[in-house]
Amino acid sequence: MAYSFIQIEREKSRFIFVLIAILIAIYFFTSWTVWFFVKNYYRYRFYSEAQTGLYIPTLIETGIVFLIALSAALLHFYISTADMLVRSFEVLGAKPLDLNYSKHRMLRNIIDEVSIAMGGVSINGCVVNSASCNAFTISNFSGFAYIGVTEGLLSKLNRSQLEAVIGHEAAHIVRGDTQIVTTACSVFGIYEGLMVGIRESVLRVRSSAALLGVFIYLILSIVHILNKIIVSSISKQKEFRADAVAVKLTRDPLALAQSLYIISKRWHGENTKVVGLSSLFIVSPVGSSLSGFSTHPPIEERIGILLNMAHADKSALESMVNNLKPEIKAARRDFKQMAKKSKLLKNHESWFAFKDQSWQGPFLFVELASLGWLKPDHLIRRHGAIQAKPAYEDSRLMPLFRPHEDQLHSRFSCPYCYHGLDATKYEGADVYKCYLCKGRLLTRDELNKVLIREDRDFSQDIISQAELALAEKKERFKRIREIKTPLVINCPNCFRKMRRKLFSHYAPVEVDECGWCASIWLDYDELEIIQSIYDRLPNKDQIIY
Amino acid sequence: MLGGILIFLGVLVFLVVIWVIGSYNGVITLRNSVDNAWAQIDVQLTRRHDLIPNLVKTAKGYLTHEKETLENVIKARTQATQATAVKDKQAAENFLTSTLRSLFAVVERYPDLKANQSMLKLHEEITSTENRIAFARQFYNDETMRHNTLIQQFPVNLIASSFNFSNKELFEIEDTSHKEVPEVNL
Ligand SMILES: [Zn+2]
Ligand SMILES: [Zn+2]
Repeated sequence: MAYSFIQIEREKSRFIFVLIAILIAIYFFTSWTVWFFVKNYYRYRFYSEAQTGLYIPTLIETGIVFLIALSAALLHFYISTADMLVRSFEVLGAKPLDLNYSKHRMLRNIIDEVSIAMGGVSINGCVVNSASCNAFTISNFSGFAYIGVTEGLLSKLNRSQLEAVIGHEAAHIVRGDTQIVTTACSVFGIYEGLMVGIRESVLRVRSSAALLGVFIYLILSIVHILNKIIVSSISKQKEFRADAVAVKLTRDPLALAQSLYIISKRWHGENTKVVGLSSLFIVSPVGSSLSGFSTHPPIEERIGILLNMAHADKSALESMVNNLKPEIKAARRDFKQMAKKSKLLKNHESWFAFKDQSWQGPFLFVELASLGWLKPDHLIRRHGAIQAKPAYEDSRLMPLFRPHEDQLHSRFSCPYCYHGLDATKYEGADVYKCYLCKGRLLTRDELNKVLIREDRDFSQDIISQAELALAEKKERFKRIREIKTPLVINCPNCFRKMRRKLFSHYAPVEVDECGWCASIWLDYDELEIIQSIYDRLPNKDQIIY
Repeated sequence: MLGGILIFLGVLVFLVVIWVIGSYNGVITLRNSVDNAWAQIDVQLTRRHDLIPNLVKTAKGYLTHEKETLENVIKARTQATQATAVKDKQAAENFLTSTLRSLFAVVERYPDLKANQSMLKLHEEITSTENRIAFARQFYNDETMRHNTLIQQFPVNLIASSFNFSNKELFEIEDTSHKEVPEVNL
């Protein structure tokens, strides 16, 4: 990259001086005005006969006020930037990557790739557990930088599109935009929260004290507008430049155009909490009311430039993004046919096992259990299947290899079979599963995570069960209200009674939920049924969180 | 008068020395950057070599009828690890890339293997490594280009020739873009 790092450093420190100067000016103006009013008020109250006319603070008083403003501004700057990374993390709801989950591993890999393309800048990754589509960067003064991606975006983009987005974000980090914007947001973010608080309390109090509130509110509004002007002046151009760097790295303008297009068509996550941090995102998560102050250039303009680079036009882009669908559909059709076939074989299931250089069998499940020599890494082949795989990968054979102590020491036990539950992963979420009745235990949080991710297909059986549930919605709600004893099983986590209920208004599936620890017990297949119902909701993004 | 000339000459010599030191350091910084970039390529190539045994092990059980493809991959890997000269290395790595590509093309035809968890993991790792190699090469070539342009331009070329700085070689791989690695549709 032909960046001059000295130039960037210079620009950064200049910006920080400007920021501190603005803070000093604000504090100075405010405290001077307050001092002016207080002094005149007291003179009017107590010395009204002796003196008349307005009192203008003396030069010395002004100097003292300035010193107070100076220290207040420096203190403000120090406090608001001291742990800005940690606080931004909290406000944004960012979480570290879970490398057991394939998509998170891919994100980690892509970030590493882009970092190599930039000559080895160190960048960390994080995710936000939200169904919205967005990405952001944050960093602190010591150059510790994070790229964050929402789960929603992670599930919508393919590898090259994600690479383009990460390239864009990494450009912000390398060029120092991230540091500037994170600093500005941390310094002024305090105000944004304060403004909301004051606005609410002023409306509630309605007394003479409210006058002071209105005054402070006015000042804060000026700060607010100042912040918007600063951030938008540094942001708008930088979005174009970051797009250009991303293209230079990945040599794929079309992928970036596609991802911007996909993001623009989706929900960006209107979240009032991140108002102050909106300019950190690739696409503003806040609907802009003042278009002149919007932190991002219009997305159509950015897409237009990228399409120009790729010598393509918008209709090509739209058809490309939509064209991906038939492929997925075809893949799903294949999968369904395979599922059907395997169902036919299910009744008389038997296996061949590879031992002493030859295939032996076929064995029924019971026979396999009594063989004695079968180990998890033996190759096995299901009767009727062509491909072989190690035995540990066939979930139906799992009970054969489980030592009994394992079940005794398991954290939870099945409320129906009293067997130990296995800690497993399902679409990256922590799920405890009973291998006998196939029931599953998970928390609401983990369940939401599963519902956001939509990269799987369901068998015809699941789909028809889901359709049945939706058709019977009314009756089911009526039935559940009439249940006499809704407390049937004990929570495997905290041993309190779980309540039998319908999962949600959208998915009328009977589940058991613990009102104490929010654990949910799902019987065989129920998780998939709920998932398939949620996948079909047009606006599931907004419903889940 | 003479004093004036002497001072003038002294200042001139001083400026020239400053300029020489500055340009020398500039070239050295770039050269180090180029060397680092080269080391990064090596790291990533090794990473790819390390992934292949696992890949072969995972695929073996399924690809009983595709022995040849697997053997090609193993052969290419051995060649790549043994090559020392830059030219040989490039040729061997190109060969390895193409054998890996044909292996993944074969894997496409085996849905069970394609959906196998460790295969998915390996496929992602290898795709990522190929991208890393491509990016490291891209960065290396960019830096080399900057380095070579700098030491060829007047007046830096005077310094370059007196300190024996020579052009760095570009890393050429027949330009098949890294995106051509087949993608697994999940
Ligand atoms: Zn059970
Ligand atoms: Zn509980």
